Amino acid sequence: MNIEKQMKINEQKGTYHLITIMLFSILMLGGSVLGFLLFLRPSVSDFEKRDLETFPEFSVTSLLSGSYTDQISLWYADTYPFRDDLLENEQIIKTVYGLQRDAAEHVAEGDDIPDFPMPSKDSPDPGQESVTPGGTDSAEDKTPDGSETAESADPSKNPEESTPSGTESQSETAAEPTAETSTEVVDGQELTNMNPQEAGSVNVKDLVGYCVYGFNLKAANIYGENVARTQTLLPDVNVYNILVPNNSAVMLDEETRKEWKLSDEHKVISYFSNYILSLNDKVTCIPILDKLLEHRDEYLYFKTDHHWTQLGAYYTLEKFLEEKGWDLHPLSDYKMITMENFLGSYYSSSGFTQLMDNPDTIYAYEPITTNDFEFYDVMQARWRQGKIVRDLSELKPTQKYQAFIYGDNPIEYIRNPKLGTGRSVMVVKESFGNTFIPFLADYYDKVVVVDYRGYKESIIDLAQTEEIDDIIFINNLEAIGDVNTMNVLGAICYRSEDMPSKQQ
Amino acid sequence: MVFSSLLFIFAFLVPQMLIYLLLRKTKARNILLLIFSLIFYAFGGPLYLILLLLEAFLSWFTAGKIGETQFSKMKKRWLIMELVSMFGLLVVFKYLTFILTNIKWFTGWPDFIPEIVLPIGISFYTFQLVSYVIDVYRGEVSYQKKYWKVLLYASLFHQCIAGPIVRYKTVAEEIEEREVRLDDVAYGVRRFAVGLAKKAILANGCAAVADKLVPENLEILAKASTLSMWLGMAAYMLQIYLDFSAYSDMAIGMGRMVGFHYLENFDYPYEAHTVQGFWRKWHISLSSFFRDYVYIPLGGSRRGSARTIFNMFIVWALTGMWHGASWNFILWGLYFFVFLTLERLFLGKLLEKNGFSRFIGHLYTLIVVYFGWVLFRFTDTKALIEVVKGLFMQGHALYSLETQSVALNNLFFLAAALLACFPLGHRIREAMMKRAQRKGGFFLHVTGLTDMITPAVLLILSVLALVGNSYNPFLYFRF
Repeated sequence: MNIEKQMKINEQKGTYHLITIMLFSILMLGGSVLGFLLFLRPSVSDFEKRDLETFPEFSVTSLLSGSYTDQISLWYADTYPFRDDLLENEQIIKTVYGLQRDAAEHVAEGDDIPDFPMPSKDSPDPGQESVTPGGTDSAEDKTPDGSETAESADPSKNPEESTPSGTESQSETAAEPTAETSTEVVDGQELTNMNPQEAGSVNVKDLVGYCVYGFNLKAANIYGENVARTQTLLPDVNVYNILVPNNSAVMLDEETRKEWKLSDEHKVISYFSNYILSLNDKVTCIPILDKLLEHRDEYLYFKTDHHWTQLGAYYTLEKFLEEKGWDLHPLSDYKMITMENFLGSYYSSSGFTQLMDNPDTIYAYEPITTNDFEFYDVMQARWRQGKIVRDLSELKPTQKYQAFIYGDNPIEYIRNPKLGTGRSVMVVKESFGNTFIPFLADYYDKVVVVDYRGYKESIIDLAQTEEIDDIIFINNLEAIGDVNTMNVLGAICYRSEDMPSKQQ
Repeated sequence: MVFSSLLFIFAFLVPQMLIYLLLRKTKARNILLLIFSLIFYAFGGPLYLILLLLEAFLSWFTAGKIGETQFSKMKKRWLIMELVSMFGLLVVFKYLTFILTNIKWFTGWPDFIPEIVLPIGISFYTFQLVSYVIDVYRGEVSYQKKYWKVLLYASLFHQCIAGPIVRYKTVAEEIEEREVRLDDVAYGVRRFAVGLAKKAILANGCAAVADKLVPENLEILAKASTLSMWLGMAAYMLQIYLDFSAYSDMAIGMGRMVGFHYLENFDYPYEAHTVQGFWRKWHISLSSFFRDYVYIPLGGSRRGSARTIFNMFIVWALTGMWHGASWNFILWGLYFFVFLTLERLFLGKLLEKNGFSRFIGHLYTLIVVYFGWVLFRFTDTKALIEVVKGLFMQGHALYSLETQSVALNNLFFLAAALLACFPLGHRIREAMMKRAQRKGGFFLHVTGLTDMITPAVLLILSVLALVGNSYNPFLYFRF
């Protein structure tokens, strides 16, 4: 009896063993087969907002050193099929790692904000510099990082594929008009391959991500010099400079700002203005921090993303229109689209998974007079037409900021001649500008949008070709706080023949 | 290639197992294992494959000569040749740069110091091959006639680059003929999955915490707070055990799947009550190597106290050096020598009693080991001094925002990692298994179901962690 029982137990154990092995083997085999399905491998991660690793090029040296095989291993894991979905699940799992309410791991390490006047020792005499661009006085000479930045800023790298000029745009658009379909929206083709602004250091307080902003003097000077030079080279154009504060300067309490040693953005903005005006006093600097602070109990910034909401951009528009002396449309005039459950960069790339519990809602305002525009799609290497503001409710939570002007594209046109104002504007921006631009459609017959991180041609020439009246530089302080990025901007704020890339 | 990479799991291990199952004969299976092992090794830089082939050849040759000759003098000569060539190669590839740098520091000579890249796994397979030849010399195992089988023993990807240091006699019979039983495979699957999860989820997670709180970069380290350093080093202490033992788990697991029974390499070392106990439970295959091939031949503890202590000194200096060509590792070995000597002289007896002294012993052991890992982590002396100063609040703030934030955000994770370092789960399972074996029914189904689901769940979780985690440090490449 006892032996019989033991035999039965052993038999049952054997069955369990068999199922254990089968279950594990099926999973292993499934994972293996999936790994060999090369066509399923993604090349871009929308979740992490970056290009994924590519399969390495073979060379004997890299093979012998082992770096070829290392790279294969990295490529294999980085482009594993469905990686973004897998990552999202991993983020969900990580929410149980700890208590995860606040995460203040970073303290800002900003430069001292100098009392003005104090030209940077890395720059030549500002007055002289702004008058004579090009020649030996090129951007590379101005920064000690010249050798490194010259390459990244080199606008001549891929002139044919990725840098359409204004004239190309019209002919190509006429030849290849493309209608937007809903399937295109959902199938994930809306990604751009431009490098987005990297979310810098992020702290989390009460389930809201905040930018840990530290001032960078060198980058600030390069930015200021380029805004001023643009005005100098285009004396008949009105150049406006709008600096978008970080969410921490507007939404965070004073005590925490001190604790995190954040740079004082009032002081930073006034340094920028003073420096720019000292180089060219015709530039109009529009300070918006106080305006935003007046409305700080409203939904001006996202909680899970480093961007501001379109409401924040609207109050900025109000300040801008005051300057222009034009009337502001009340918000109720706009058709509003509500997109719930948006999770932005603070969620996807900072590792603060707890932000998932506090998703954002995007309230997007369609322009009143036209919602059509065209843009150069780098991924598809062609001009496309689309809606300035789109409803992306159906997309994944992390993809919804692309509701505004299809995300970051090097160049875009809004043409609204029906308006009959005869006015034209050029906006030089990074992604913070995306929520502001839709409002301009109702005030200008033509809006030309340049994302300086992707556009490689002279914006001075572009402004002249397009007969631009106003140029608005609208950029976020954190986004312009990096010398390399600012050298990218610096490379296009010259006349074509004077561009640093053409001096070599 | 490392075990904890998707490439290894899905593109290497699965095809290897599939083909293995198609083959029926042990010889064919061995050839397959050899081919895959050589590919695996070549992945880390194909040039060093030559070194592995050469060392295996020399050892096969000398062992053969020793086995064939009847004269003990000749046996000894061949053994000496093996030892000189093996350790000569090890010294050249692992220690030459270090030795020359130090000579230059003292004498100013030589002008040129070659930068030699450490061949992956050289410390592991050299020791394996040496142990094989010594065992043949001692007559504990008969020599292997076929070169490719010695090569298979040394290169087998399960243990070639991260241990355990498998003795030839452990696998001699299984290389010739082995049987794969259902419960072996089930055990192998479970062990492999546990190891993978330990590495991919727990060790990598602990590494992230440790690197954040006690980075190796001196500049950032100088700004870390005292509590951050304490917590960070604790995370490192968890990491290093979880990481290293995970490789052994995976090796043992993969071995079982194809019928090899490797010996255990770790036995919950953080449970030890003495430093000596710790070393009986930590990297067992290495400490037993030094015991059997260095300590005992030197006379062990049979030649009086002074000689014993000298023998221990040699063993621990060597143990330290084995871990890396850097002073901090030698210091780390000698650090343990000091405590082991104290324990031999008087401390051990005090701590071996039951009750309270056992608790004190456990605490003392953990503290000694903790500071041991501080020595181990920092090859840069300046960084090491900075950390020691930081741990004792010399010139560092007690507390920073970061400490609190990292601690709270990883509270449950670190608790889970801590739990994984102790045998609680293992013991509960053993107790359940015993009852299941006796009574069947409920206990059998509960253990059966958990055993069934655990590997699958751990595999899924590990894959998720590995997809998102390009951060996958491999601590043992330098050994």
